[in-house]
Parts: sequence; C-alpha cells; structure tokens
Amino acid sequence: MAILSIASAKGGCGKTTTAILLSVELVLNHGYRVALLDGDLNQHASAFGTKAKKAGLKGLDVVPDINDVNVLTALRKCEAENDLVLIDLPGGTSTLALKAIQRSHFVLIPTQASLPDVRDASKTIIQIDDAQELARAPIGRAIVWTRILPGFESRSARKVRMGLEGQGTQILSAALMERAAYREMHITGIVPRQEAATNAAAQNVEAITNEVLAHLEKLSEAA
Amino acid sequence: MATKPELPSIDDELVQSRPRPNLSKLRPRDDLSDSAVEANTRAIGEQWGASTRLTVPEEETPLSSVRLDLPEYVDRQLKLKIAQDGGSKAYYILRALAKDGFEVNEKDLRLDRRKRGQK
Repeated sequence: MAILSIASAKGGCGKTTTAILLSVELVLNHGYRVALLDGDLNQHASAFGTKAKKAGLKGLDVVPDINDVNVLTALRKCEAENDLVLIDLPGGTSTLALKAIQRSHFVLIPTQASLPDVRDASKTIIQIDDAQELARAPIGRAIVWTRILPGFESRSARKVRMGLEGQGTQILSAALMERAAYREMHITGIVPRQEAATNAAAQNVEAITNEVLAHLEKLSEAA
Repeated sequence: MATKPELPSIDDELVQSRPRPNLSKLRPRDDLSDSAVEANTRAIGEQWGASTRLTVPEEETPLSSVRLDLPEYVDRQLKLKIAQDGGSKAYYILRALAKDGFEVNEKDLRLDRRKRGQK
C-alpha cells in the first residue's frame, strides 16, 4: 500500500485532473484497488466519482469531504482497505495539506510552466522537506508539468521550465498535455482510457502513471 | 464488387501492460502519532502565513444536566434578557458564577453553546 498526495500551494494547476486520471489509470491498467480522497473545497473529484460509478467504474472509491479534522482517520481507514490511496489537496498552505503530506510516501506536484506556479511549487517542496525532517521518514516528491500545449512552447514557458530543470528538482519526464478529453471526463465520468487505450490522451496518462509507480517502487525497495 | 468487411480492432493487443510494481514493503506511516502530526503541522504552518488554520480543535466540555427552580419574577427577567440579547439561561447563570469567583472556562462562556465558536 502507498499514500500519494497531489499537492501544490498554487490553485488551478491541474491537481484534481491529475488526481482523477492517475487514480483511474491505477485501477484500470494496473488492477489496483484505489481510494481517492477529495480534500478540495470544490469537490470536483467527488462529482467525477459519482459519475464514474454510474458509468460502471469499479475498483475506485472516491471519498468526499476530507478536511483537516478527519484526514488522518480517513487515511488510516482507506489505506487498510486499498492498495493505493491518493489525496487531492486544496491549493494554498493548509493544515489539511501539511497533515496529509506527513502521512504520504510520495507527493506529486502538478505545475504549469508559469512563474507563479513554479514559485508555489517550490514553496510546497520546502514544506515537504520540513515535514520529512519532522516526521523523520523519507517523503518522495516530483513535479509534473501540466496543461502543456502540444506542439508549441512559448518563450516564457521555456524560460520557466528550463529554469526549474536547472535547479535539480525532481521532475517527471512525461508531462500532462492540455487535452479536451481531460475536460470532457468531468462531464461524462469516463476517462480517455475507457474510450480507447491507444489514444494519445490515454497514453499520456499511462506514461505519467508508470513514472509515479517507478518512484514508489524505488521507495518500496529502499524501505 | 463486394467491399471487404472492416478488420477487427487490435487496440487491446497493441497495449501490453507492464508487471505491477512490488509496493509491498511500503508500510503505513503510523509510527508518527496523530498528536505528533498535529504538532509538526503547527510548527510548519506557523512559517507559512494566514491560510493555514493552526488552532487545535477544541474538545467539547462534558455537561451535567441541572434542574433548578427559580422565582417566577427572576425567570421572567431571564426570558426577557434572552429575548433582547440572545443566549441561554445556562449562559447567564454561568456568567454570574464566573463573576462570583467560580472557575468557568472562557470557551464555555458562549452566548449560545450550541453555536460553536461564538463568543
């Protein structure tokens, strides 16, 4: 079992989309039993979970209304019942996020290639460092670029991306591209893989998930 | 001329899933107690500004049920006060006891105990 937080001090950077796509991919392509805890005030992951269940998705339990008071209990319960627990955290620095990070084996930080996103991602990384030191347990972490436009990179995006890559921060080599399919899933409750496993959007998610699993596997081997 | 039927989908055969990683050695992080997590959270949160809620959730004070008989004219005054200012009979009695030197915690001196957080 593993706990994976999707966190960033920045709002609107793709945390919920990443959390949903990763959760469903882990269920459908890897056969894991997964719980997705929705700690975002907007509860978009929970809305997706309701639709996905109606559409017939099995193996994913989306738990709504996670807050700083119930998060530790919810994590304990879900990790006992599932192979993997993901938690979609709210933007900003919150008690909820700090608690979840301390219980996490790995934190994925979705980040757009913009300076405000990268600044806030750096803040999140420092908080993970602090949590790791206080918890005296290793907490893996990596940035995943999100909402990347296929076939085009602006001057400012390149500057920001290369700047962060030069800092030696752990960054996934696969980036979450900007795709209509990731917006449609909030309407349909169906992720790209359920449409066709070979479509570009599904393969994009598969590549990111495989990298995250490789990180978790390394942590497991080191444990 | 008859057209050939479409070939069946080979999508499933093109995708080969990798073996599941072995995550069995990852153990729950419960070696750190909940109270230690709370304390760490406050320690980190204090450095990061106002959007973090740092207060420890208050424990509800256990209550005892007391039945008491008051002179009707006192009860009438109490009802009037409650109608004017809000609150409860318990609040005005506790406030009077506190003024008289009894130990009454501030969190229990709310105008209406049912509305948590109201002073």
